[in-house]
Amino acid sequence: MSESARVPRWAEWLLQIAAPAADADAIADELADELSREIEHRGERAARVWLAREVLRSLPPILTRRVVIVLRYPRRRGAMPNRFETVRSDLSYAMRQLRRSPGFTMTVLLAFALGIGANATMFGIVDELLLRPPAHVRVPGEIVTLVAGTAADGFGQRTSNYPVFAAIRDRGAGFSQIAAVASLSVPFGRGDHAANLDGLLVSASYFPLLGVTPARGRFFGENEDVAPIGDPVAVISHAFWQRQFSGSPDAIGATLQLGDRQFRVIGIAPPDFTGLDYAAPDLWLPLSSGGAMQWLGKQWTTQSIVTWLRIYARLKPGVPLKEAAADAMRIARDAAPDAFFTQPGWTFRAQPIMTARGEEQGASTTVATLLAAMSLVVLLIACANVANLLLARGIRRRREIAVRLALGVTRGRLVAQLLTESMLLATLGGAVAIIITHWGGVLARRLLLDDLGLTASVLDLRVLSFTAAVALLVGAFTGLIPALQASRAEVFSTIKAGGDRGGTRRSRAQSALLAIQAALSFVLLLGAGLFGRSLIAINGLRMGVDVDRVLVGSMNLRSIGRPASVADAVFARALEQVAASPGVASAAVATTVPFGPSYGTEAGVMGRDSVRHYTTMYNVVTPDYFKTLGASLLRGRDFSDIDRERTTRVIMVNEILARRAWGHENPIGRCVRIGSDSLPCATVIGVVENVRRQSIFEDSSNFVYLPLAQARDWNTARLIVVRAMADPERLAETVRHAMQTAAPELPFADVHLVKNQPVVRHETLPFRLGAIMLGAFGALALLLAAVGVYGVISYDVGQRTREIGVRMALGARAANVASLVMGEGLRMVAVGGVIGGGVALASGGAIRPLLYATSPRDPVVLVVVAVVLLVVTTLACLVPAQRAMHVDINAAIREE
Amino acid sequence: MIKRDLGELELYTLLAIQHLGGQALGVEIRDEIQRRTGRRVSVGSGYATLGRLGDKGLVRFTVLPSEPRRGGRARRSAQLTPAGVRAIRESAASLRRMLGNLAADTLP
Repeated sequence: MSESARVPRWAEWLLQIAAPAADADAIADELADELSREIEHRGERAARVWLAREVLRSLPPILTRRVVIVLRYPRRRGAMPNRFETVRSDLSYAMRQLRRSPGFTMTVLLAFALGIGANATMFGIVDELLLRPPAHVRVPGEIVTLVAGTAADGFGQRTSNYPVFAAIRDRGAGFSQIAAVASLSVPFGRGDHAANLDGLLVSASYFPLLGVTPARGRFFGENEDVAPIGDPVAVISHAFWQRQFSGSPDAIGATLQLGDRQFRVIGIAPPDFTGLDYAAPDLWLPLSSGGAMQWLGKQWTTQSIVTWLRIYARLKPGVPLKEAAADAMRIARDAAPDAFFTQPGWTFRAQPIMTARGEEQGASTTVATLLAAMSLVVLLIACANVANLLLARGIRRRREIAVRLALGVTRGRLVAQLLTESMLLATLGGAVAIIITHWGGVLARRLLLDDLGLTASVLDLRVLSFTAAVALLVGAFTGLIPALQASRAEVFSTIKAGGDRGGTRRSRAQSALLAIQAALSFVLLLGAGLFGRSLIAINGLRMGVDVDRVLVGSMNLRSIGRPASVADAVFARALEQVAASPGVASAAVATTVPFGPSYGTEAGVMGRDSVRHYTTMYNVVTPDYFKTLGASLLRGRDFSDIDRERTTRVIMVNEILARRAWGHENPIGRCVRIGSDSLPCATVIGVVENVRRQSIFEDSSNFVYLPLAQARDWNTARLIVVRAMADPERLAETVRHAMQTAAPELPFADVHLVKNQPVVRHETLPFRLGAIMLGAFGALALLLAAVGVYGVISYDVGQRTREIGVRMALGARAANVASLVMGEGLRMVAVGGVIGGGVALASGGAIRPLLYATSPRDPVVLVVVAVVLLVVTTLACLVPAQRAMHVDINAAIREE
Repeated sequence: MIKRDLGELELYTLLAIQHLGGQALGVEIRDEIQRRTGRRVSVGSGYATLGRLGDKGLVRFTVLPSEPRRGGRARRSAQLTPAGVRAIRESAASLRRMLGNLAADTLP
C-alpha cells in the first residue's frame, strides 16, 4: 500500500470529540487508508468529497457507540470524553481556589443567586401568562376566539350570544369545531352552609374541541346539552373532587345541589387541566343546563341583545384567520341583525387563544413584562458586580498567573481554567437561585396573579431549564472579560515586580463596571419611585366612594328560583339586620354599585319650549345610599322615608348631568322625564358628587338616581352596600351572616370591599405591583451596588496601604485620607448616577403610559433617588475609609 | 451461549471475518461485506459494530505490529472467539430452520 493520505484536521478533531480516546486514532487511520484508495480511484477532489460524506455518515454510529460505552461501562478507560479529564482537573482546581477565599465566594454566590433567582421568578410569571400553552389542549395554535369590534377602536367585544353561536356552528365553513363558554358563579347549597362555586357553562363541543380526556368518568354528550333545558349533569375539577369528595371514586354519580336543581357528577377533569383559562373552575355544566341560573331567563337561546357567551373555535387547516372571521360575521349578521356587535362597520377577529389570554390580563401582562425586563437589569447589575470582583481577584492573582504562563500553560488553558471558576460559581448560584425562585414565585404569584388562582407548581421543567440556561450564560459572560484580561498578564514584568501588589491600580474596567451598576440601580430606584408616586396619586383620587370603607353584599335569589317580588322582602329584612349589626355605620340597598354593572336609560329635560335628551346611567337606591358610599350631597336633600310609592316622583342627579342640563342654574325642583317622554315628570330633589361607574380613572357619566320605593320594577337586581365604622375586613363576615339569615334557605351571600371589586383590583394592580416589585428590585440593586462599591474600595485601600502610609507620614490627617478614599467611591457612583439619570430622562416616555398623574421626570423622585444612592454609597465607603485612617504608618512604609 | 440480539450487520461482520480466515482488519471486513452483499458500510458503523461484537465476547482484538516503514501505524485486527464461531453456527442453523422447505425459487 502506498503512503496513506492524511485525514484533514477538522475530521480528526470531530473524531477526537466523538469517539473514545482509545479508538479515535484507529478510526482515523482506517479513514486515511480508505482515503488513499479513493484518491487513486477517483482523484483528489472527489475523494475529499467522499471523505466528508463518510465522516458525516460515521458520526451517528460512533456517537451512539460512545453513549453506550459511557452508560454501560463508565469505568472503561477513555469512556469519558477526552476533554472531560481536563474539565475535571479544572473543576477541582477552581473548587480549591474558591474554598480558599470564602468571603469572595459567598459574595459572588449571593449576587448570582439573587440575579438569577429574580429572573427565573419573572420568567415563570411571563411564561405562565404569555408563553406556555394550556395543558391537555390538542394543538392550541389552531384554536381561536372570536372577538368583535372595529379596527379603529380595537377589538374589545369578547362575548356574543347563543343565536350567533348556533348559527356559526351550523353554517360556518372556516371552523372544524366550535364551542361556546360562559363563566358563572354557581350557588351551591343553602342557608349557613351555602357557598358560591366557580362554574363554567360550556357547550357539549367544548371538551372535544380541546381534545382533553377525563381523569375519571366522562364528559357531556351532545344529547345532554339540548336547548332550552339540558340534563343536570356536571363535570368537576380535580381540585374540587379532592376538596369536596376527598378524592373518593364515589364522586361519580353523586349529586350536587346547584341553584334550584340537583346535578349528577359524571366526570372528573385531569388534575392540571384549566381549559383555556389560567385556572380551572370548580365545575363545568352543559350550557343548556345552567338555564335557571342565568339572568337571561327562558329567552336565553333566542335573545340576541345581551352578550354573555365566548366563542372558541378550531380553524380548519388551510383556512386563513381573516376569511374564517369574515364568514362568521356574515352569518352573525344574518342570525342577530339587532345585536350591537353586528352593526355595520364591525367585524370579527379570530384571535389565537395564546395572544387573547395574555391580552385579557391587560395590565398584569404589561407589568409582568416590564418587571421581567427590570429583573434582567438586576441580573446585569449582578453580573457587573461579579465581573468586578473577578477582575479584582484576577489582578490579585497576577503573579500566580504569570508564573503558570511562564511554566508553559497555554493562554487558552488559562482562560478555560478561569472560566471554569466563574461557571462553577454561576452553577452554584443557580442552585441557590432555585430556592429563591420557589419562594419568589409563590410571593410574586400572590402579588401579581392572585386573581388567576394558579395552582400548578412554581418550579417546573421550563423554569428549571431557564434557570440552568441563565446560570451558564451568566457564568460565561462574567468570566470571559476577567479571564481574558488576566491571561494578558505580562509574564516577565509581573514576576520581576516581586509582590502580588506590584503597584497595580484599579483597572479602568473596574471603574466602568461600578459606574454601570450605579447607573442601573438609579434607573430601577427611579422606576420604583415613579410607581410609588402614581400609587399615592391614585389613593388620593376622589371617586365618590370610599373604596376601602364600603362593603358590597350580593345574593343571587333568582338562581334558586325565587321571583323578584320575594327579593325585595328578603333584601328589606337583610338591610334591617345588617344596619343593626355592630360596627355598621350605615347601610342601603341599590341595584348596582360603583364598578358593578351599568344600566342605561334616557333623561328628557324640559326646556322652555323643547325637550333635551341625555343618555344617562341610572341606579335605584334606598335612603342613605350616598352617606354609605361617602359621596357628598352638593345641593338639595337625599331620598328619605317620605318618598313613597304614591308620593311625588323624585330623582337625584349627579353633578355632571346637573351641569350639562342646567348649567349654572339651580336644578332643584326641575322636571325630568326618565325613560320615556310619556312618563310622568320626576322632580329633582338633590345633586350629588360624581360617583365612579366603571373605572377609577374615568370622567363620570351622566347619572340619575331613583328611590327604590318608587322604582321597584325598574330593575330587579339588588345589592346591599354597607359602610364600616372600623375594620371593614372583619365586618364582612358579620354582614354575610346578617344577609344569609334574613330568610331560611338562602343561597350564598357574597360580601366584599369595593376595593376588591375586580375592576378596582385590576386597575390599581399595575401601580401596586410596579411600586412593590420595582422597589424590591431597586433595593436589591442598591444592595448589590453597595457590595460592589465596598469590595472595590476596600480592595483599593489594600492596594494603596503603602501610599496612604507615606501620605500620613508626610503629615496628611485622617480626614484627608478618609476623603481621599470616599471621594473615589462617590465619584464613580456619581458618574453612574448621572448616566442613569440621563438614560432615565431620555427614555422616560416609554414608562409614561404606565404611570398615573406622575411625570417620568418627576423632580422630587429624582432628587430622593439621588440622595438615597449617595447615602448608601457613603455608607459602603465608610468601612474601608475607616481602615485607611487607621493604617499603621510604620508597618505600611516598611512593607515590601 | 448464543446472544439472541445479534443484529444483521453484526452477523454479516462475523461471517466476513470467517470468510477472511478468522481474523481481519476493519477495512477488509467492510470490503468483504460490500463484495458479497453490495452494501456499503461506513467506517463509523463498521467500528461501532465491531465494538458491540467485542462487548458481547464474539470477537477479540489484537494489535498487529506496525508496518516497517515511515509513518507506519499499529493496526487493530478482529479475531473470532470460540463464542463468535458458535454464534455463526447457531444463527445459520436458525436461518435454515426458518427457511425450512422454502426453496430459493419458491420465495416471493
